[in-house]
Amino acid sequence: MAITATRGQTFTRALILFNEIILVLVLVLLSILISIGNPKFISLANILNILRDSSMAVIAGIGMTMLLITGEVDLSIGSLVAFVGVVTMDIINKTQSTALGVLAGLALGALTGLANGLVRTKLKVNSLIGTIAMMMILRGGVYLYRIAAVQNYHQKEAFFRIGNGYFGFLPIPILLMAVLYLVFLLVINKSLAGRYLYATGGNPTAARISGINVDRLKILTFIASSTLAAVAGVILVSRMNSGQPNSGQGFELEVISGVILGGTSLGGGEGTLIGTLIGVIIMRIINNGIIILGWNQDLQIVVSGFVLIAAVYLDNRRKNARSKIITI
Amino acid sequence: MRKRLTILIVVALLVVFTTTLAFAQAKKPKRVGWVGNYMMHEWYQSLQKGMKARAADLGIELEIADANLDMAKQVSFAEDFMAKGVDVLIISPVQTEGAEAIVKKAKAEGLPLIIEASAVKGMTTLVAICDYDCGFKGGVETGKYVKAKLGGKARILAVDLPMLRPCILRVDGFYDGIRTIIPDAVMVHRIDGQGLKDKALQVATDALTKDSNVNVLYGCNDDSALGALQAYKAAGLDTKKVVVCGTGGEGNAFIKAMQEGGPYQVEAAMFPEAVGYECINMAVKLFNNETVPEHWVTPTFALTQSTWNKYYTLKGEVRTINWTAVNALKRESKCSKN
Repeated sequence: MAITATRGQTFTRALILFNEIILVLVLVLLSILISIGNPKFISLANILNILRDSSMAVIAGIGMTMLLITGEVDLSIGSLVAFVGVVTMDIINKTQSTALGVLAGLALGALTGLANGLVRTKLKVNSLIGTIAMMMILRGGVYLYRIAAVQNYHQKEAFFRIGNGYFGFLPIPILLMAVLYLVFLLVINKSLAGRYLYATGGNPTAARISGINVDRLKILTFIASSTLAAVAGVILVSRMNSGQPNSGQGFELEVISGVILGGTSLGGGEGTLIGTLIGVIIMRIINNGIIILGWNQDLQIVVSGFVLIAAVYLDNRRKNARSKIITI
Repeated sequence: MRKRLTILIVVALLVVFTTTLAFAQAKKPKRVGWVGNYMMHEWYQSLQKGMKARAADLGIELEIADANLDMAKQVSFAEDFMAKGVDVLIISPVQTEGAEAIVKKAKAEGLPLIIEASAVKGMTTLVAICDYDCGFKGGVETGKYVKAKLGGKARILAVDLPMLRPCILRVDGFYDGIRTIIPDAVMVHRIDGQGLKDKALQVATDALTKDSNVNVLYGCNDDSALGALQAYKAAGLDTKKVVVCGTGGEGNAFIKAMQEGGPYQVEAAMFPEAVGYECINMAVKLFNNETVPEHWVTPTFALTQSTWNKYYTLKGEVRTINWTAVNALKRESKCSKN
């Protein structure tokens, strides 16, 4: 007796095989619908605006994707972005050196990642709890460091250009995003390290047995992720022209939503940077579209919530289907 | 002009002298307890300075606790202060409904209680600014600038925080104020920046993509105004063709922006130090069983690039309020709108 796939199973199979294509179709459809409502949506200025604004979440999303692939997560990146911004601006003010300020911010990111990695691998604290704790430490810590916003007393052109400058017609944040994206795309897809990420997330025990130093890999992934979040923090402080201790609120949720929508599994072992890029941009388009269309802004929160539920539901269906695909 | 200024200064000094004398002669509470709602905010950092300064002037011991946006913690701290036997209690409510329990308990124990910021049912007195009138003053001053320097037509991008009624009142007040000078002023965008600079930057960027034909940027707080200004600059628009009005003056950001001499021309200042100062003054009045108004309005004023330094000095990152000038400001006896 022939086994036939149900419509639902065919849909799920499509999701597994053609996830990124489906996301592109969703992105295109959304863009068309919003453009019908307001043609300014599809203007070059708005497209660059969307990409520039997405750049911070995409950059942080690269790191979050790698972490989720290994089966871990980092909820401290929002607080880290705020702390990095404050430290970067403060150091530039004090040293009059953009390079030193940026390095200080990135170093803070790397150290935070190291701390998160050690808490996970040596103290064996679940990364969800460990990074929530780090989120609290960083958020409280930034206020201990500087209770008030750090204003720009240096007026360095190089600092200004990080978040607001252009390379030709391309905003520099988009260029930074593109460069980092391509580098890590190569790392994940073409290098041994990338294959180890998937192996670790897919089956940590098997990965260990096959000789992968899982703990070291996770620590390095945490460091990479937090450093990338720090890059996002540097871009943000440049765009805001001040280091704000209260910035970055909800940033981790924005990044995770985009990454999961892009097809990265919460369970580990699956995910692509292409999916992350499209997922983050879809989230950004929704928020941008709501304002462009003049709708009630509270819809941004409501719609994001629905999108997140949909993304996790699809992730669960993919996971279940992978374990029992039925072929005709 | 000089004669008028001299008279103003003399009057201000007399007011300060007689007030101080009056307070010197009144009985003073030994200990005042204040339970704040979010001390990490710059507003409350500045308010705290004013409160501490006045308490130190009068020889009053001030104890401070921070509820950190937790209503249950606020109730608990208030009860602790009551148990400790403070002479007067000041509360900046996390939530006005939740603070009713504190008001009831304080009344039952005969403890004088002052509410700061937002009215609570059953309270004796509120020490706070008038948000609508503050915004209104900012709107009038901004309207004057637009009329004199920007061609007399006003198209406004306002960054609001609709979750909080005081912020809604500020934006409403600003719009009504600017229309007293420019009756056909248009509110092109009224967007929610959540009171945060990074969110204000994001939503203002989107709004300006939709329609960038604005020449007035208003924020319900300074971060909102500055976020909108950053968005305006990032959109490549000409900053000589726009005016910015912020609200609050809670930190140094507005002073810095004004010192730069750019489009940030107006600050609807709320003088948080003065709010703290008046809370202590009101504590002395209540302790002496004096009759007090239900709402003791603290001063607000529209500062400009040429007048801000009459009310504040800034040395490095330390700002000092000019008490003489601020205490001489005319204040409303009651708010135009609540």
